[in-house]
Amino acid sequence: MDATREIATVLLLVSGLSFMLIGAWGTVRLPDAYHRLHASSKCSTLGLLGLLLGAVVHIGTAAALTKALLTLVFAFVAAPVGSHILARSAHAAGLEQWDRTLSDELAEDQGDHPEDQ
Amino acid sequence: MVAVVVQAGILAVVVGIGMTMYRMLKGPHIADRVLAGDVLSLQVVALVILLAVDQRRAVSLDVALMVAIVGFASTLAFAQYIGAAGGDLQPPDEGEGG
Amino acid sequence: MIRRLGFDMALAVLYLSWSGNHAWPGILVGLVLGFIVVSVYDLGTQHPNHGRRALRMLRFGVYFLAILVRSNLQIAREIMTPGFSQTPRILRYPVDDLDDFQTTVLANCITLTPGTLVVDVSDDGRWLYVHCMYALDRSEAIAGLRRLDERLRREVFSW
Repeated sequence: MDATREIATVLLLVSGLSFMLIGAWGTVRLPDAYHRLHASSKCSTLGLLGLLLGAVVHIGTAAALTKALLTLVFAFVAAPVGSHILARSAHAAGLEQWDRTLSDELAEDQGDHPEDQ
Repeated sequence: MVAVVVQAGILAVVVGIGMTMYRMLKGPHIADRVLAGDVLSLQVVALVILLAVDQRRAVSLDVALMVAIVGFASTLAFAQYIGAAGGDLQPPDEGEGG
Repeated sequence: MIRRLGFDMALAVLYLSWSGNHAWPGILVGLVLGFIVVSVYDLGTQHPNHGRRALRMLRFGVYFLAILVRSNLQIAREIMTPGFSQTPRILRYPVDDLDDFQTTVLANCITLTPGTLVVDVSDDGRWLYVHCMYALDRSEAIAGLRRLDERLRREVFSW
């Protein structure tokens, strides 16, 4: 029982940590701020999920479960909202996009609203 | 075995913090710097969770939640600042420290 | 009124568990048993069936976790292999008939699914602007968003 628990802890912690690290790497490597936001919002959410579940399995008390669940709920709401509001204000501030971007319908629509789909 | 993972994890978080610091210092647009700060706060959350695992106490998870909330609030504040300043925020080319 | 009662109860359970009170697992078991009894009662009457709805919501949660893992693997592969293969676009996606809360939930789900990130909502709340990493074919990217949207409407918004 203890051995299973330890293996589960290690697996969860390692997967969480690797996703956090990949998210940080993505902020260095990807070409423009929108792609970096993709990396940060997705990887840090799943990374926190793995780390918190690992901590709960290792600590194993009801209080740890409650706190981890609250943090998780907060992370799952806050990470997308934060990246959304950051992308929105960056677009409003005229952030130039990667030169391989195909089209930008938000810039086309700014001002008037489209009637076609 | 968990202790080894915690040690390696601290190393991984430090590497991640180094990467986000690079983006924060270099980032061509101010949005890149704010995004790096957001990722940095999440790396700190990961560090606090590792501390909780190491101590085997649930109390440290409170700290993780608080750091996450403060990081989110600061991201919101910076995003409002970028949005309000509009297009006149292009930093000079010599790239001052973040 | 019922909604407020549920909120009060959730706060009470939260307080009990946060303060390390050892009685709270028992209270939780009581709540779950009560929910099951109400669901069984719903089966024999014309009332809306809460049990089946909760089950559908749970199934959406599992599906959501699966696509979250898939989106992470996708972006991890993009980061770790040399060169870039993205074909990004910013698309508009119509959300005419959703209210504000539903739009928020849909936007959060879109951000956490593979290759998509919500950039903006139009001021009248009718369009979402989505940054897609792989959108060489525009209609295909829209169809992917539509699949998630329909699943969310069927399994979560139909309460």
